[in-house]
Amino acid sequence: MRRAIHTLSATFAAVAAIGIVVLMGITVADVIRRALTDKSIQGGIELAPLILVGAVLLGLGYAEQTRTNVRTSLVTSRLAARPRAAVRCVGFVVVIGLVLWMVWETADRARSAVEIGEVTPGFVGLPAWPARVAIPIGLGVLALELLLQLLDELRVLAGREPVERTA
Amino acid sequence: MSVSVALIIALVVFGALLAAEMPVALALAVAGATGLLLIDGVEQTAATLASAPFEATSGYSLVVIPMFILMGVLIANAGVLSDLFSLANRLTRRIPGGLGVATVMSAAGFAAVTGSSAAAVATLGRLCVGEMRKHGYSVRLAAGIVAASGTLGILIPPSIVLVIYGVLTTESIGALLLAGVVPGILTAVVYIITIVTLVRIGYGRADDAVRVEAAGPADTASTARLREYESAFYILIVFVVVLGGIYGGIFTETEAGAMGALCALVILFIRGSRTELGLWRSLAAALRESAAVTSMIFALLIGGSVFTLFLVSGRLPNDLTDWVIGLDVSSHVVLLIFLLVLLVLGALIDGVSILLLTVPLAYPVITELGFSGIWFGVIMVKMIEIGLLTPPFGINVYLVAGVVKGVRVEDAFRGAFPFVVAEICVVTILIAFPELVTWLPDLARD
Repeated sequence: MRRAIHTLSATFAAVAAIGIVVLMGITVADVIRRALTDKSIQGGIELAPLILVGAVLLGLGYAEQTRTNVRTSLVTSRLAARPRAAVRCVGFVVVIGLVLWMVWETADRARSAVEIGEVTPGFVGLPAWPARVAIPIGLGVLALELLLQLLDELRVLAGREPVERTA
Repeated sequence: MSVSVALIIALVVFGALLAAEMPVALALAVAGATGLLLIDGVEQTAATLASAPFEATSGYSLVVIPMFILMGVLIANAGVLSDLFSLANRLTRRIPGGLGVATVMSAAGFAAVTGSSAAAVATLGRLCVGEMRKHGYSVRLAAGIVAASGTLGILIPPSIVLVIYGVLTTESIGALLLAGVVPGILTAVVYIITIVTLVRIGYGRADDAVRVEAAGPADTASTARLREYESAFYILIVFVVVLGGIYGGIFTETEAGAMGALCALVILFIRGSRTELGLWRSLAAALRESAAVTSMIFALLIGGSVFTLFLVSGRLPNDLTDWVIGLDVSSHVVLLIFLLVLLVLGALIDGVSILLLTVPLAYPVITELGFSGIWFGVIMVKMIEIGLLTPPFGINVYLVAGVVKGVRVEDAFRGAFPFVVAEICVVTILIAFPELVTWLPDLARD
């Protein structure tokens, strides 16, 4: 299961990375087109934020997997292994609860965006629902990565060997 | 429930989750959601959680953040920093404490193309600390120099922290980036003066006489020199494209970031085959890192937006502003109190989190008191820089201790102390002469 979740996070991160490169490409193309023809790419300004939403949310799981997310071990580093695991368990339960609540709420929002065929405001009116759908997916992968860490802490709490981090 | 009680409970929740080593972004979101639940109920909180991830990430002006991240990560993976250090090392070998000066100069050059300090500290730590140790620098001075040099990355443009400040306050991001130039250079100069002074008074016992020999035959080889100048040239190009584009009004900040990232991509393609990992692995590593760092920054923005919505919902920024304006104290006393709060927070949490926690409250007060929002942004970054060097959270110090064998955290904190004093001097200068910050953005506007 661990490998499957990590692979899922890494795959979404690859999609996110492609999204960032596409963002760069769209913006550069817009600059070049404006320099040559004095006109911007139609819909470029509407499309970029939608790609950004997807890139950001789909990379969340990988950011957690690689421990890129900022945290401080100021208190936990001073604790023995089992009290540390207990404190972390409580923390993980709380944050996983919030992320799952966000998954629920954003999934509901995504469903209504698909149903009504939500489009961006403005002249071009691009479909906004793919970005809306990416949000609960990205948050869901983040929840899975957090859940893995909770299970690791529970192992320590049960007196078993901690799992070595590979990322 | 009263708003002030809700605020206290939210802050306790935030602190408890930080203590439990949870990601700061999620701690902010949980604290904000708790506050909202207490003052607005379940429905309003659910609506906030449903909208925050989209609202906090879907602005066109936010595209500049991944562009600057991509640019910095690509350049870092192209391996230009080691060449920059070799070049600076050669240029400064006759100066007392020249190796330390070279470290600051190469960090300043690297800061001109990357918006964060971690990459610079990690690379310079591996490169410079051992070299400085060989030439008589004490461990603490060598580690302190590297940790302090790394702080330049978050002030000298492109600074991601300043971009986020611009996003939170709606101050012009272009003006903020230009505002960081003079204070950034000033900080580098003050660091250099600090190093030369420390070496002269015998703090580090740097033995510069043997440096020419230590530089070795590679230093004199024309190919090595050519590579050094090539790297410096690349950095100059990216800096000119980004800052020149913004200053000259040719590009928006987002476009400048994208053009800079494109230049960085080209540089990685030229240099990639000469890196340790080779072109494709370097590129893949850079793209993966860009995705992770982008998500990390935006996770903070999402969590911060939930927390800010709680503050705004409870009218806390307005109430604080009204209360402070009603006090019979000088505006500089209020500023000093804010700076002290930032100093304390800087010792506990990272820079972006500090911005997300304090800007919604501090910015309205400071601007209402007549201070420039642009100037305050730079002052905030300076305080965050100090936080990177002070215990217990001084992240740059931990980074140096983490990447260099034989460097203890306590030694690195001691070594960073003179630079904290130097930073406080720079902040004092910038408060006394705010024109040093506002001059360049004003010039660009005219």
